Amino acid sequence: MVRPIDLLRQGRKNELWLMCCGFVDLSIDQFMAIQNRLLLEQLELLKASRIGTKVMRGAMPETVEEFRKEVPLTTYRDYCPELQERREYVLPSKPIRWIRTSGYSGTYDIKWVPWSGRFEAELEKALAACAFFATSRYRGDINHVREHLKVLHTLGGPEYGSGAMGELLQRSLGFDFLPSKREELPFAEKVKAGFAEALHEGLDAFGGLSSVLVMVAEQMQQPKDVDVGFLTAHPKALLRLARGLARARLANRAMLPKDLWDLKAIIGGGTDSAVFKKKVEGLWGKAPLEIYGGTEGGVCATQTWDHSGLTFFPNINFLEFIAEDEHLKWQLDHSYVPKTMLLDEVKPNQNYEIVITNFHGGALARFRVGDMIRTISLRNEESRINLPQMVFYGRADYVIDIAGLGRLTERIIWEALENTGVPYIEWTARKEILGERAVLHLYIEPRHVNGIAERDIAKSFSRELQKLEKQYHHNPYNIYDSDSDVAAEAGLRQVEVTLLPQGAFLNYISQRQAEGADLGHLKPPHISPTDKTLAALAPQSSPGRGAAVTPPR
Amino acid sequence: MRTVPDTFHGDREDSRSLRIEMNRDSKAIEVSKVSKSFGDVEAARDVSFEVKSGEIFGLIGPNGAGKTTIIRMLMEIIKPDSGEVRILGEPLRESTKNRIGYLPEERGLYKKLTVIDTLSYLSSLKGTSGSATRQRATTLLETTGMLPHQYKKVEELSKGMAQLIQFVATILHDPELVILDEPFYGLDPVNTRMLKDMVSELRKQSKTIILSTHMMNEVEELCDRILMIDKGRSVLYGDLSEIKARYRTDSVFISVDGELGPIDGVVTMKNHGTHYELLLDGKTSPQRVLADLVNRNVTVNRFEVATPPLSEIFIRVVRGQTE
Repeated sequence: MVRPIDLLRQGRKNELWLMCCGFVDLSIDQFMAIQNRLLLEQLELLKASRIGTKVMRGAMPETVEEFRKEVPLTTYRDYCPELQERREYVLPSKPIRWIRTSGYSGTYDIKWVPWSGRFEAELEKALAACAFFATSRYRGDINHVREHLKVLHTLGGPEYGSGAMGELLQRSLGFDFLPSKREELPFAEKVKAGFAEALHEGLDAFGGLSSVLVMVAEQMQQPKDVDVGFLTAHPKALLRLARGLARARLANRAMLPKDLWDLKAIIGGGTDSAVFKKKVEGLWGKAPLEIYGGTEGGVCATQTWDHSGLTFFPNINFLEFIAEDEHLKWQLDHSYVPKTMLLDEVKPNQNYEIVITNFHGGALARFRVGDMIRTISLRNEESRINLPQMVFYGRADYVIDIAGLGRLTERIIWEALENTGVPYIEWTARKEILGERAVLHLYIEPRHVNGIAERDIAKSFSRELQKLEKQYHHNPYNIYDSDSDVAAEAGLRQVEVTLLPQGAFLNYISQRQAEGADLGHLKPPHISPTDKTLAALAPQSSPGRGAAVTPPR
Repeated sequence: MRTVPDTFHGDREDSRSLRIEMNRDSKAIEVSKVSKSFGDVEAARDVSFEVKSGEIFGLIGPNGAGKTTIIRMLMEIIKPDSGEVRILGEPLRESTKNRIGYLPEERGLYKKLTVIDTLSYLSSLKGTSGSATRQRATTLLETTGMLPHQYKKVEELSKGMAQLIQFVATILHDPELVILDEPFYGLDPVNTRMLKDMVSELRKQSKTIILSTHMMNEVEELCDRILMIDKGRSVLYGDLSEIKARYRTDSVFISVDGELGPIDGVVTMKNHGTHYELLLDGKTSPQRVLADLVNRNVTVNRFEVATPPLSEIFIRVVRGQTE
């Protein structure tokens, strides 16, 4: 088995591109042929395994059609207690590692998902593709990746999906993660140590949350004492700093991170990258490459060199899509079995809930990940990619549906808040009923308290939301909404803002840490926090003036 | 022409024969119904073949026929859209990888490294290092005439010299399966001859060799069996001598002392100066012509049944398929 690092080390760049990125040359028919072949291989493994026969409810499908017809859609509950107890003997193939995931809404605090060796090997190539796309300017441009690139590590530990994928990427292309000694360090300390090391070692790439890049950049712009001892001990850092200052002076502005480092790549996942795309590009000189994936399916799709729509990988998971109207029917009646479509059946500008079946001996079959994606086109004409292009839309159960405001995702709310320019530390939002009125209630911890009125923020936020309407406000299947016109007249009053006290989110995290919560549960969710979470965020004030409305799950 | 030193020869002839005998039936590579497309281009379509252990197998066809795609699928650099590949008895694995030496079509030496550092680096990637590897590197450099250039940077070498270094790197870790993609491309006739000798020598050491080239006539003398491909499809596959016999023309080359009188069954007789080319009538066998000459007490210095070169067979096969 030849791995990306083998080719990289031998300088065989054309072959490297073909190996990792060649899937962008596929036609949709070829894509589907690969999907079908790998599914049939996987079916044999599933049929021969205990977990496979259990979740397929005894079905023995021989074809893709039989598989879709006879095998029910699954959720994590269907794999319990086997996966929860990490029983290896029930699996289609021996796992090389178990990955833990977490969710706020699920029954299980920690979910365990097995990854097989072959699954990991394919993920390695897919992740290498992401790195190439993040650095490339055109098809086949593979000249910017070499071994030992310095990459800031802001990912979880190897037992988490993000950490495991980081580890695979490192193995795939031989990156050096900063900080070099990061075990046992809390997240904030790790980031701090990483940037300190980057000051003298250099920094080539970043993988993780784009918000971290924004935070670091903002911290850089705040006046603080210079650590003379550190700079004296690290002359390279001093040199870098001097060069950065000179660049900033030439540009007649404050020093920005892009004055210190010439990043080759920024890779991030989902909402975070999309929201901060422009900001990160302005501060760091490079736009983040957005990828889509998770613990259950590894990396499923990626942007390419043009940083526009995401293209699915054909060889990681079998992909099915539940159209939004089908999803909504199921939301209303959980006994309803939503129909699925394949990638060659999806239509442009539609939302779909994604359903995956792991290839290469993975355990999950017709698994509802809980994510909504939106197809933006059936091909990327400009970059000559003849496969459907998509964007991450949001968690299927993280959509706030409010009459007159439409279906609001984490991304839309976040973008609107960003666009207000209100300096904030963190936020969370949910649908509440105030009197007889449904509102979007934003809970914001401001960076400083002076001169910011809740009502002004609400107005500004509503305005930004309206500006985003053209881009995002599509509400073709709003079956909850019976009086949208009346509600729309209510206008700005549909947004409520509560400013949380300074330190609210930090205190929450500390409290969760003290309770022994794992990494995935430290931060409160952006969308639909529970009353308990809100009470923990602001014990002194009384947030949650309205009654929370929880969407059906 | 440089000769191949004893140290490169490996085992002695008798033991080599024994090993070849033992491995005759084992398959180094099994390719079953492999297809691969790039967009609208079908680079391989339903290609199946086997490579037996210890043989030199020619993968031949014109440029763009799909040879490199097939090799890349063997090496798992790209995955087939359908079909199966087995290398050394199993799907390619991490453990199998170091038993293979692969000279890719894409040469990727680091220009700023010296020759010896390049070899040291590339062999370390294959998990070999130490004095035995250094000794073998020296021997191979000597064999290829590259020893005087060992401290030169790769960028100082000619294209042909770099090619030889890449070949040395390919076999430095003593692989049992050697895959050579266009190994003669860019080489002058002297270096081509030398490389052929080294390939022959590898076979004597019971190595299995796949030789992929568009220079079909260059490999005739080396290959035991071939797969001829065109536009991604297999057009001819099998034992080279059988194929050549199948496509032989009705003519013989002959050189005799004195004049050659009329011969029964010969339609045309061309005098090429050093030899004659006799075109037979289709009913007369070459053996009968030879017997006739011997009966007439003609001294025959050369008698050769003419077989067409592979390039000609290729044209005939492709034309036949088109027609």
